[in-house]
Amino acid sequence: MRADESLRLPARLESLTAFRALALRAADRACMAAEARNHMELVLEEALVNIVGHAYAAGEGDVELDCGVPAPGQVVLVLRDWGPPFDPLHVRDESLEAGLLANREADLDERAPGGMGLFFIRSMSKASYSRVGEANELTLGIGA
Amino acid sequence: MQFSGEKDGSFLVLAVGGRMDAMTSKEFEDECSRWLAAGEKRLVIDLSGLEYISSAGLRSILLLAKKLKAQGGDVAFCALSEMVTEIFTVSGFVKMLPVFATRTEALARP
Repeated sequence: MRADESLRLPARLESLTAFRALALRAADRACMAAEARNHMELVLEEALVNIVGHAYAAGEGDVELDCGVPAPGQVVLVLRDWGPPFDPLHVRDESLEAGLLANREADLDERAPGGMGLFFIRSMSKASYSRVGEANELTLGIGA
Repeated sequence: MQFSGEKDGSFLVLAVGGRMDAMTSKEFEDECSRWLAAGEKRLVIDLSGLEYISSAGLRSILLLAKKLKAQGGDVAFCALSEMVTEIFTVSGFVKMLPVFATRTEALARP
């Protein structure tokens, strides 16, 4: 991966601006369609928010983003953190999953906030997780 | 984000522009809180200038709608961009909240 396709920054929300710019440059190289670009921006934000919220409970740490263009119209994002092992895609509780689906049908009184970030990641990208050495790696494939 | 509010009868129409994400959704919450504190109970949010929304933005909108309902008020949304329409649709927000194609339709509510 070329240097301009990878960026390591503190695990903070403010890092989203620079990560987003990097991902959009990859989308330009891929000549990505507008809808897929939107999906890419969204899953990047949701994944970063997840890491900022969970990876470094005890202090500060970094997040690294790699952007690749495997084929025209497609971008692969790899988000890496060095927190404790955490697979955001793994559902540990089936009732939680059922609750998420019911929540999308709920009315205003019943609707609970939360859960949508992971839903977007799953529905708008081809997502996979692996623990690589001391790192959590979330791979997100976007585009046809 | 950019905001522009104007009265139309009993409604307060708030035009929202920019991006509503994890970094900016607090600005939207603060803007709405100011209007609510000023006594507004019926909001129409014009989203024609909103180019992007994430789960953080949805959360702010849900909290606003719940807060207004608890106070006997309501909020409707109109003129959603393509991206925002998709997110409102897949998240179930179009079924949960009043969403209109145009500001005129949103203002014609009883």
